[in-house]
Amino acid sequence: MNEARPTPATATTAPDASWRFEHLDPRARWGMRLNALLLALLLFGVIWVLVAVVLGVALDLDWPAATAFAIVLASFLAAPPLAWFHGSARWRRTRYALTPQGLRIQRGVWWRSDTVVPRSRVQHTDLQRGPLDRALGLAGLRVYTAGSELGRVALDGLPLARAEALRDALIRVDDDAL
Amino acid sequence: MMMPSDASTESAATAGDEARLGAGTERRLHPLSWLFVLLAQLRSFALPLVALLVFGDRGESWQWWGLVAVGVLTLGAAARYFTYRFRIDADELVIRSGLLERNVRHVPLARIQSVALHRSLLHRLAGVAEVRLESAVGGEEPEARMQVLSMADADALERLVEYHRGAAQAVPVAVRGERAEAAASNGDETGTRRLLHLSLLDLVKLGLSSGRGTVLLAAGLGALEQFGDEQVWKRVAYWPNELMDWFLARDNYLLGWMLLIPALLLLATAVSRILAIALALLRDFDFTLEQAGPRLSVERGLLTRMRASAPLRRIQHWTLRQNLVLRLFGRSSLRVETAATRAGNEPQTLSDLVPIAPAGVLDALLRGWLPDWPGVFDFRPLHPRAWRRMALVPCLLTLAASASLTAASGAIGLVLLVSIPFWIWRARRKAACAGYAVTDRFVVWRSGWLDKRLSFAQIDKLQGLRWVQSPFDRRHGMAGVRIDTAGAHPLGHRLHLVCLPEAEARALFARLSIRLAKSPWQW
Repeated sequence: MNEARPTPATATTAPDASWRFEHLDPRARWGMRLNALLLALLLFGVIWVLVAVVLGVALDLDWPAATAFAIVLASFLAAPPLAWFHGSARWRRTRYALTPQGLRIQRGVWWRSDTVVPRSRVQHTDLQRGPLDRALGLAGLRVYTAGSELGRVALDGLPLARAEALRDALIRVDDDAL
Repeated sequence: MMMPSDASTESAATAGDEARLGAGTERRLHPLSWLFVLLAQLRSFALPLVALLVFGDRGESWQWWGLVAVGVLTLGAAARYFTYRFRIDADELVIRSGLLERNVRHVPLARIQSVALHRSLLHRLAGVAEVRLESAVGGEEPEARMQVLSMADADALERLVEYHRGAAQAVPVAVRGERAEAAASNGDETGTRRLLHLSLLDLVKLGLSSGRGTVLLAAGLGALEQFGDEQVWKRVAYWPNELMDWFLARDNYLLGWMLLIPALLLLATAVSRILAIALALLRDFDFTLEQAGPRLSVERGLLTRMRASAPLRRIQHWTLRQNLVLRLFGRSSLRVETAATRAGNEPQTLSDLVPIAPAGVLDALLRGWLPDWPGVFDFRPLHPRAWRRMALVPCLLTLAASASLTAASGAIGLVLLVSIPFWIWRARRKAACAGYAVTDRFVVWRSGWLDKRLSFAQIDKLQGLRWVQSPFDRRHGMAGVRIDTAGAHPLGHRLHLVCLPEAEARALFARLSIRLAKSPWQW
């Protein structure tokens, strides 16, 4: 990604500096890389099976087995570094902030999004910690609203203390009137 | 804080309830909880287990497996009992659960919409109840399912929730909204006013404008293909066959085909529209829309009469629709999405609020329901290059189809490329027809070229915002804003504002998020 280009966030970040975007815990990168790797392997697998079916059955092409094998092997060897970079990029692109309005989450390497869950719309929250999270001291925050598409907004890979602080800041109902 | 200062006796009672529920310290469920969890789980296994016990005498090992399964379930139920803890903390309910995947849920008591106590015979014998607490979050599962609490605890919890909810809603939103709507409905709040009634002619027009018949025709032909025998087919295919013979008996074979295909299409359209009219008669016969105070109700149906009602303030999202046929008749239709809680027994049948009505009538209705409804909006256009994005997918699909057809059967595949100018023209029309408007109270999004739709929602009722940008958008300096409402139908016309100029999308996002944060939550 072109880092020099101003990201959507920096273009509109409030100048009053009462809040700022934060990154997830650096250790969350590992989870993202692992996810990317699994996804890449699955994707390559599906693609090559499809290609084999289309070329072999539908078009009746006869590829030299050695060449085909080399291509497939090369793609699988390329998966880990690709996943590494993609995971890192995803971590870099994932930022969150507690703004006066509520919780802001930016994410996405290619398809980018910027979500705001207004504080006044938060219904309840979950703090989820799997075994790995507990070992690393991380936690995942889930914010529920009465909405549909944004009925459940998840933010994984937060340091535990930060996740708890976010939750406590979001759920104070007496902020309703603001 | 939300504690009303005057209700001292009440808060004393609440303190008692809080003390009963642990007042800030963690508590487990009722000690018999594991039994009820187990029984609930066994219920789903009951049939196989009975079958096992009755028919399982051939190999005795099966019965042992059954015992093992029950043992595992018991351990699971016990683990759930030992890991499930709750506490009442000031004004929220905190639930810890899970063994491996641990979860801490915080539910503000004021946000709990309903407390449902479920007591079977067994529950009553043991003096316990299953308590389901639901907030406004949609979905199948209640937000907290306490399986099970002693009756005293359940009652205390129920009172506590009632108290907090009463305090939170004492003055504000829901009541205020209702009052405004009642005032808007022109006086007599007790009387029922009939707002709309559909005549037979309206129903015929409704049927003609509906695509449901096509679906039914396709489904019917599919079923016939599956289950029909030769005789039935012959009868169904009689007229198409006659048509075919008549056209193809000409000297000019090509001309015959060129006439036959439109004729068949015409026949299919006619049949599907007749089906649609029949459907409309069945479904919407004697359609009546009434209003009693702030409550709307709809009654309709020829054989099965349906009646559905909902308070106006429950409506979250409105969609006005005008397709080609409706436009020909000068009519539109109005659909709404309401937020229904699972416990509040309000099925989604109020969705077709006005199946068909002249535009003027609809406008008058909307003005009555929404006092600030301006009627006309100053629509902002999309990004000047929005049509490129709208043409992208059909053009790519055409290219792919053309390429594969060419690969398979030669140069004839290139014929498909002729459609590309049409896709581009269509995309330009669509882009020109789409637009958005934001007023103080409403967000409006319209789209569609032949099938025009206009959706809007009150800003106070929006639940969340998302700004989105695809790689294509980024290259062209566009972005979209998705606006979320409660109870959204996944296939409905969503408030997904796409292809806006990037700066405008940013500004809209910022403006709406501030506006949303300032408006109190409504339900």
